[in-house]
Amino acid sequence: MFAYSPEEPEIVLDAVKKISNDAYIVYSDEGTREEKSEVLK
Amino acid sequence: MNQKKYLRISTPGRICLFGEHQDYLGLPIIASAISKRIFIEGTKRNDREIRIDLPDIKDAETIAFNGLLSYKKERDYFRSALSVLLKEGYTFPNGFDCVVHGDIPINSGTSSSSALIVTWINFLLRMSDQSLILTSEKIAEYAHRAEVLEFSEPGGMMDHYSTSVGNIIWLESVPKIKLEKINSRLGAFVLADSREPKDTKAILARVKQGVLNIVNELRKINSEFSLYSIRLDEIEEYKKYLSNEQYELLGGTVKNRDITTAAKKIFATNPLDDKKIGDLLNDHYKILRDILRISTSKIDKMIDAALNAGAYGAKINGSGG
Repeated sequence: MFAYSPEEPEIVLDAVKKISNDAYIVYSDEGTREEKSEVLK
Repeated sequence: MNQKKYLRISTPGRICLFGEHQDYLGLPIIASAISKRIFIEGTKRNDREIRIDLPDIKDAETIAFNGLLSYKKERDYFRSALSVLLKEGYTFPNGFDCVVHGDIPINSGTSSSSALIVTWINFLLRMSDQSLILTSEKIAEYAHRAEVLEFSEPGGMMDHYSTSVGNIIWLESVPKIKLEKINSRLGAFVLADSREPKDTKAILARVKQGVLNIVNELRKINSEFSLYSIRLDEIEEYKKYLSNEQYELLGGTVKNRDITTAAKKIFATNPLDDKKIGDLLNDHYKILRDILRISTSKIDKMIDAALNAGAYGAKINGSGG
């Protein structure tokens, strides 16, 4: 599930985590892209 | 000759804001890519072997390719994506050493598999002899072929277009693909997984096949019947031809279509009315819960908790995540 929480998402996150700990705050993001940094090379 | 030696590509997961269980019926959807991503990074090898390390799931794959590929397992996506590109005429003189990792929740309705395939196709295209950077829409089309058409799976195109294009999109697939980028800026979401098992095949059998059966039955009565154009106030004339369950399912499908259209109109306003978007998410969720019956008591509790804590709206994501 997801909840739209533009105000104080941390409070919503804590409430949801009391029922299921697999919860995160996320935002809308851009699509596929080339990353410039090399991390695991 | 493509000289690119090292490449790192990432693709987001997605949430379906509006139009859940509608895209495979050809009805419009609104989806948003999210700030959880999958990454593929790798280098060229001197031979034609592809070695893929998958540390997140403690697995690895090796693909030796000469000509067209045969699939080794169900949903053999690394091979199917490569196969789609080979059929399209792309050539790969070298293999690769790759690592795949990310933080998109798996089996949570956030399209981790579609994001993986979109990333892999981007990686392959840029590493090919042709060294192409195609449009996000073309990548999505290839990804849909690799994930859905190659395995004759049920599924729409929302996941591929949403993850490839990114941000918020409106997508129609019938009578032809029509994609609109929605430029509104949304605030934060709380994404959560109930960790309960879900039976996606059973849900699709009941919901997708149920609606398709209704359409087929009603077209025998009225050859012009269409899910795309029928108004909610017109469905009562078909009640006598349907069981109560079918009638409810038809009504729920039409209401969800109308909620998606209403949301598109809200997204077109400036400033965006966040509370109206939340209200429409709640309306959509109630239909998914009460008519399509795809929620669970645990998910209902999570949604209640979110709304009581101040969320503007909430809904189930995917087939029950």
